[in-house]
Amino acid sequence: MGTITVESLGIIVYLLICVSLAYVTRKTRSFAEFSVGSRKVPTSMIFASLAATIIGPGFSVGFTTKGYSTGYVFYWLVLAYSVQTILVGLVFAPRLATFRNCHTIGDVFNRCYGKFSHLLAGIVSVGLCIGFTAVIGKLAGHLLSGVTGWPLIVTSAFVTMFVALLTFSGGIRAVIANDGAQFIWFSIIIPVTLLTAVFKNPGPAQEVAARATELTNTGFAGMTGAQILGIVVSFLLGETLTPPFANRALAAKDESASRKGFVYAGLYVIVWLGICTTLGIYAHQYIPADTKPDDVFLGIGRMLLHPALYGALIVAIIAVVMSSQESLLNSASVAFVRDILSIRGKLSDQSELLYSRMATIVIAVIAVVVAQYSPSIIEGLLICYSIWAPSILIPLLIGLYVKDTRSSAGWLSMLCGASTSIIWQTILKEPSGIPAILVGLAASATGYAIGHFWGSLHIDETTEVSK
Amino acid sequence: MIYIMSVIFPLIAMGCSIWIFIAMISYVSEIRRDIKSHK
Repeated sequence: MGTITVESLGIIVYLLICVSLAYVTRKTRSFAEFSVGSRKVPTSMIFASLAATIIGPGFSVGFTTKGYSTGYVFYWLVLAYSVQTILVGLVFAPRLATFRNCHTIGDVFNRCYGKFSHLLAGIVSVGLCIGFTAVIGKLAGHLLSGVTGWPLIVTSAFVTMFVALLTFSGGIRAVIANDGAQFIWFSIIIPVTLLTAVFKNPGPAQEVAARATELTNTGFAGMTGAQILGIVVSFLLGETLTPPFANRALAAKDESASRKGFVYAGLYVIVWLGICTTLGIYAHQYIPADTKPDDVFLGIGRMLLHPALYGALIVAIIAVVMSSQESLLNSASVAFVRDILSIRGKLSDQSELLYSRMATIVIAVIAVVVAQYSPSIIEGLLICYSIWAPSILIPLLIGLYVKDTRSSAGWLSMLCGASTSIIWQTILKEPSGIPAILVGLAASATGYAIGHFWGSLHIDETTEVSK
Repeated sequence: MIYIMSVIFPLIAMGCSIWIFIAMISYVSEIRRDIKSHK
């Protein structure tokens, strides 16, 4: 049986597993089941779902590429992401889990700052999720196009729409079940690829260690302090409590499950990025020196693995992409209905459920279209990062802990933070190398302070559950 | 360090994979029970 046949067979088997899981979890009776899984998700599945969502193409294929070209440079810098996830788990996620009548970040803003801030949070949430879905869909399209030879627009549309079909009926329960399957798959195959590289290595391990040190030292020497600061800040703050992660905190069965899920996921990222980076370093032992860095991941797999396992490796990449896209689409649809559609008046539970399902499909179509016009993958991710943290982070974290909040503090902080960050990044092009996130956060804090001292006290009208 | 990254880390990842395999069976069974109990 030829390689192509085995690859195709692997992809078909994997897609059938996904469809089966979507089928058995497809029935949702209420919006709470669709959006937060009735708040019954245990620690293990919160962990797996978070890890599967965090590990996208950048945190797998991308890190092998980085390991190949710059050793452990990015590994050490992006550990900031793990620190962020662990801190969120220890400090913020358990607090978020106490907002038992909230389904989205926007709902939390409504409780803390009122409807206008709720709407703004909803617009940012939906926009961010569409942006991320488009960027990831485009990368998935490139990967699948390389395997099948189909045009990019067809492959990116196929992946994104398939993911939407998996999740539109079962909501977050289907997402988490599929995340679990995807986690299992890629957490076996990619480590097996590294172990194969280690045990087939013809030279001594010291040779690989020496190369790793040399690549890392050269990599750090080629970077400025501002570049290092920019990367650390982007990964430390850029994705903090973005909608898919906040949804996991809200879906956890209790505060302990929320806390442990985030902490375990943060620890797992340390392990995972180490595996992918080391695979890139080992690639020097096997693949030709003129290999393009972007081709290293598949190149080493093709070189080392049996065709059946190589097919499984391609499926693992598809799993990495799908697990991130599923969570983003589900979060976007829930935020659209809860934070934008319902803002003028409460919809019935069944209407919210119906509109969320429809929104999943519509948002997927929008993401496919946006993907065709999106900038490069890294540029797209950096734009998404520079909007989320400056607009949401400060009012959200203060709102979680401070009781006497002001409506104006919420919306002024969001508007100041987002506009400053966008202008700093896109028009001024980050003068002196100061990251847009930092400037945006400073503006957000200033806006919050002005709004707090200028505005009147916000009275929370959602009295079902106290803070 | 290379030994930890190239041998220990893959084994930890595969161990987590086995843990989640068991947890996922339990989670999906729970969902099925929940769906059936409301029929």
